Amino acid sequence: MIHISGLVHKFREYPPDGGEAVYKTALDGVNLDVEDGQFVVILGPNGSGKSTLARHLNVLLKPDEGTVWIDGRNTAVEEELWKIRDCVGMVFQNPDNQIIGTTVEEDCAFGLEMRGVKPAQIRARVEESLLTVGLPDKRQFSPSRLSGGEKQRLAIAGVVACRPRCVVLDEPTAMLDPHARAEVMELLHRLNLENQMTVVLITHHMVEAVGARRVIIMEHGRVAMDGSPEAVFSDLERLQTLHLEVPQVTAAAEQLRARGFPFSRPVLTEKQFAEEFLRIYEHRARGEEHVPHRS
Amino acid sequence: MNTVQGGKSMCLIEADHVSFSYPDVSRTILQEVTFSIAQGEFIGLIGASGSGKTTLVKQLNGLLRPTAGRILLNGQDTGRRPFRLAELRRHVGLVFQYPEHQLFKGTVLEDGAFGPSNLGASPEEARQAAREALSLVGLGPEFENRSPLELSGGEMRLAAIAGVLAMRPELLILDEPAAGLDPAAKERMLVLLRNIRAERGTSILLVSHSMEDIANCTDRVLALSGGRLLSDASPSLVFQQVGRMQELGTGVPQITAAAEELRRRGISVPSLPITVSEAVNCFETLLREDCHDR
Amino acid sequence: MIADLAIGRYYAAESSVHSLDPRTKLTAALVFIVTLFLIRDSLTYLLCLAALLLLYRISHVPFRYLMRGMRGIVLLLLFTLIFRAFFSPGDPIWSWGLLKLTQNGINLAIRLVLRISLMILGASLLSYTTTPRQLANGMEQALSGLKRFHVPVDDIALTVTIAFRFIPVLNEEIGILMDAQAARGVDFQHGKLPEKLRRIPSLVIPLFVSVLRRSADLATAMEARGYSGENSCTKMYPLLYRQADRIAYLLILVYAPAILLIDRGIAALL
Repeated sequence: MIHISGLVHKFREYPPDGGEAVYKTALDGVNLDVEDGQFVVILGPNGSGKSTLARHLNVLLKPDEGTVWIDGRNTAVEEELWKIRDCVGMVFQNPDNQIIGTTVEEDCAFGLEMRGVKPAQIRARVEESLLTVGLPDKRQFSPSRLSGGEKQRLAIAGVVACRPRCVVLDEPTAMLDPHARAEVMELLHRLNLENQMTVVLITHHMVEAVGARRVIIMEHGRVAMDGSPEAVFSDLERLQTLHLEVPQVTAAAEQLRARGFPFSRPVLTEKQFAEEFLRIYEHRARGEEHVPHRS
Repeated sequence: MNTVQGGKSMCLIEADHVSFSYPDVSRTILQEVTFSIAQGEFIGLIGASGSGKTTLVKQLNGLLRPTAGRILLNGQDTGRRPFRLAELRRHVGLVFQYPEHQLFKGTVLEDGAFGPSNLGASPEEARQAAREALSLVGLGPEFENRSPLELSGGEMRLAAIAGVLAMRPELLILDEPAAGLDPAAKERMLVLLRNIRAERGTSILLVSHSMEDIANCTDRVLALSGGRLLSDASPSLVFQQVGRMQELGTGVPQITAAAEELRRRGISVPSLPITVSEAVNCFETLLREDCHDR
Repeated sequence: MIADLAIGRYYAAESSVHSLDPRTKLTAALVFIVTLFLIRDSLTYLLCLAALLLLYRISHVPFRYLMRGMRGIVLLLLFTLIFRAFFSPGDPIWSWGLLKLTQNGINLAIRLVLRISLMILGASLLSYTTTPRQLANGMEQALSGLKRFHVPVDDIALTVTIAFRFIPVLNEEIGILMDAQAARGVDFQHGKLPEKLRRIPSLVIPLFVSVLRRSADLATAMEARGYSGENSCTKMYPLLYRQADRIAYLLILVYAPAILLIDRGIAALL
């Protein structure tokens, strides 16, 4: 669905004390493939290029070198622009600054209105989308009556109404409290599973990568790690050099492992931790000196 | 669940049965909230959205006046003459969420000096205070003459915090200072708060949604729910009540929840750990001692 | 509450006036105001008032809202009354220095005051029965003919809608800014004018920066959602005239000449 090859993106930066503009490389040769229906999480510290990468996916930015193919279309080709934007929807970090309508249903309809969809169909799709994200009884509300989590869900509704194949989210939970974050994550997983939507989630919360099919870690404009969460999170030393915040249970399991207890890698949730602990506990209780490592 | 504060003289600020509701609204936002903060303490304030945290915090720095009850500063009732409520601002600094939005002066130094000048400092004194504050947050002299708008997001936030620090408050309240920051920057922020306390003896009140941060940094936790203060104790004590904290809407640190899960499955965990190092020691002990028992 | 009413002038209710197409109401308001200027006899204004009060009744807008619209301009009306009565040409009934009270002046004054009052009441009724969004939609569709002359009607309407959408957001932001600057020692309540002026930058500059930032974000979001500046848009709730609108237009068509005829008639009789 998404095929990126050798993507390079540079941007000009003007130094604060005057002088010549300098070119900074935001993306330094990225190669990436995303298949239909995958749930991909892109992690990385600030400055790793993940947001820049996201913006290439719906042609808000064009490559300086290399190519980006979305659903078989080249993003560098001018004529393909709106077809690609039909295919890939995008949700941004600040909930307020992407809501345009004066009521919930009006905002949800925006994308459809722009595409010249027939009014009756607009109404039907808006109804459907609001139902999907859980806001049907708030359709006449002004957006300022919504909580942060509800606003992001509205933004997602607006994108989903246009039925894209893929939705890219650039740090959608950065400004939300933990409750709202959970709401949004639950919705995204549901969209991925029930509506077969490809989800590309950019975030710096490690915890959000737990349910993903694939985790990609970026550093200095390059893909540093790419694989399943289990594979990626097993390399804790690498993660720590990348300044990524490891969940407490993961860190605890690792430290216990260092003290000789064979916690398997990686431990990502409380439940997994409890299961591992019990497994080791029971082995030891049975008096087995050598507790086998779980492969 | 109240801990005993060491002597009235150590008490910097006290809330005494503070209640608050807005003039034309019937709903009470705060109900009989009572607690005290001593000099040099690092306190955490937690509660679900809408529990009244921001309103409470605004009572402490005089932006709002309690409808009932009083706020005492060093034993003095701030609601009565000769004390003017506006004076509280000298002693209690309040850093809102996304404080970088309030920067407006031409240079970082000028912006930092804004607070002290408003409090009556001479221009030179104000600039000196700003310089010290900027240095404390890690922004060196090279930042002084730059426009705040040129700085990176993280730097802007530090500059904004320096602007409040420059007023030399005895209590610094921060509402989610790490909001929107990536993990590395968040860690630096928490280290900064500890430094501020260490270097200036400032008391810190941290409002946060991250129970992990609260567990790692604070001496004492105030838990608010529906405008009432439900808990006022050390984080270790407060987070023992996992179910209650989940009802409150705040939850507990992840590692505490994991330990609770173990308890549920039959492991007798003596006391729920709240930090990773506590947890590792606790679990190690459990795994080893069990070996001997059987 | 305020947030939902945008400007606060909309009174939510179910009435035949509320459910009229906004274009109909805009036309009615326009015709009403134009006829006000063409009427010459003060007594006719009373008929206009009666018609307006009837409409208020039909639209279920309470009487006190009517008065609310007038409250703001009482001073203006008083001033106009006095000015017109004392400074108009004609034979003075009573004079004191420069002040000349004339019969002509009194007539003119009363007429002017009535005209202004009726205008305000008419405009108020319009805004009480039509949400800002509906007004914007109505104007957009009504003026869509201008697109032929390359007037960007759709874009203007969108700009207006976005402005309304952000009023509560900016409102909240100003509140937070005021708190933040107050926490830094700014006293917004007391002080003389020069001090008050000095506080303005601390609010205006951050607000300005914030608005710029929001605009940039919003533009990106709009582009991502399919805004392209090309006009092939449709509307979720397109404005369609119904039977009630046709009747309303008929009434408007009858009202205008009727009221003018009555006006001439009264003038001739008296």
